[in-house]
Amino acid sequence: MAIIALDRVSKTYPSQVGPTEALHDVSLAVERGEFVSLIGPSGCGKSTLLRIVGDLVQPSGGAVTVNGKRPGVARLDRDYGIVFQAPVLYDWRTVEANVCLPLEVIGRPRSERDQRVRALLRLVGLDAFRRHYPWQLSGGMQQRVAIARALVTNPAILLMDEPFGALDEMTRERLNLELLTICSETGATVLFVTHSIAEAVFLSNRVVVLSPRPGRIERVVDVDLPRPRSEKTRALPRFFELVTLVREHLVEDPALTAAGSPAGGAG
Amino acid sequence: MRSVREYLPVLGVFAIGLLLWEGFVFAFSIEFYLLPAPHVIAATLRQTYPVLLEAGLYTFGEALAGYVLGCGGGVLIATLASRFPAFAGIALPYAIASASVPIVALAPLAIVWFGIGPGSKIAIAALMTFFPTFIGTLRGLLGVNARSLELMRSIAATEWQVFWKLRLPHSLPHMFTAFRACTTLAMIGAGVSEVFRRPLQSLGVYLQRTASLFQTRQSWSAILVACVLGLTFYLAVALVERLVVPWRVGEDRAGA
Repeated sequence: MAIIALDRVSKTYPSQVGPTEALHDVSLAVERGEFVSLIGPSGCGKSTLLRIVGDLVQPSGGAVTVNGKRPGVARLDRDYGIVFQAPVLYDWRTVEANVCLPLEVIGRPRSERDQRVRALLRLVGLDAFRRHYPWQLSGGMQQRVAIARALVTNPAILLMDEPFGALDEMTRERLNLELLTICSETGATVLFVTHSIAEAVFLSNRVVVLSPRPGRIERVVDVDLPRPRSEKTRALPRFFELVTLVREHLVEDPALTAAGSPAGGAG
Repeated sequence: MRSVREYLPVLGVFAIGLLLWEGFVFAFSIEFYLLPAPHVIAATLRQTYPVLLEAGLYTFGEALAGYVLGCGGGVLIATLASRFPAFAGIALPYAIASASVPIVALAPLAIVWFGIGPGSKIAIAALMTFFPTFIGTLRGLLGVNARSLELMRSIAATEWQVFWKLRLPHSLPHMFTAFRACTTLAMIGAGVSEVFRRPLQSLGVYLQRTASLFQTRQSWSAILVACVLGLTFYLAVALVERLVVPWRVGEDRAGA
């Protein structure tokens, strides 16, 4: 059974000019252990979709099942960890205290917390920085702390909302590789929002292409690239074919095209 | 700790200021009852400091009592207000309006309510420190960013945990900004409300008595004592801030 199941999910926001439909009849099933990317131009509702799965936004219609439960129940059971585009680290907490936050909230005993935090910091390669404050770290390191925090409770699902969108290209590509290693070690299912086609293809089992206003699934592209993936994967002819395939299905927002925005939507 | 080097310019300016003052008084042959030269003030201070220190500490005691009441009350009411945002919306405009009432106007009323003794001085100091603390703390408690709250929701934190682990620590730097500003306000509040010539042993009364008798050098010594006490108060709070809000000190120095 799918670990994340969306059945004809829709979302309508009220606004001054009448209701705006952000998502329209989106159905998607993510299997356990899968890495699925949501890609599309801004305004296609991909972040909204992720937040519906996380019970941070309520859908207007349709049915959502997360780990076999309603999203609200899954959230209370801490079935998922989330990473935002900004690291959202608490300034007053050191790196280790930031990673520890979810365990404190759950009320795990101290010895267990320390052990888990150390293990996660080793996983993201920041053990040497555990006593640093967030402002002492680079953007890439801060985002690694956020990933460690999302995984510290060992959730079945990892929700990522453009986690590397604010990073430079080189850091992003390195973190892409690290993320794949982390995923294979933890076995987490990942739902990943991005606006980079290359990133989506490189990481995913499947790339879900959304079109804007209202957000709909335009096409689901199966990524049949071999695993484990490495820097060499990016040079494979099949990689380019898939990138082109995804790009062809990305529909530019008509409002943006009219304004003369460059086509493609790659970030 | 910052190196001595960083303080050198400050000390240099102080020394130059003293020299200019001394030179100014000498060059224009200014009478000492109008403006005493620094060396005269220093000599007076050497004679009168036991009396001045006692008076100063008395006034400082009033200021400190008012400060603790005002800042404590500010934090407490702001905490309550943050739990009930509707209340905060109603209270905030009044808080801002009351903060702009001139304190000299309130001093006579405080005497009517709390007596001519230290009570009215403490009340004025408390009133002056309450509003900045209230506003600063409330801003810190409510000004938490939306993603930080979403994170708390994603890990199913309780309201109580959101308060202790997010709102309160987020508010601490705001609180300490208010706490630092309030040290001066408390001293001013206590000192100014002593203009009604009570309590006799206070620094404000000493200052007023000497000034009205043209004992200018004694007045200046009293002002100096008030300055040193005020500065010590400020620095003590700044030191506590370093201990309680260590992340902020680092951030400020990194220019973040």
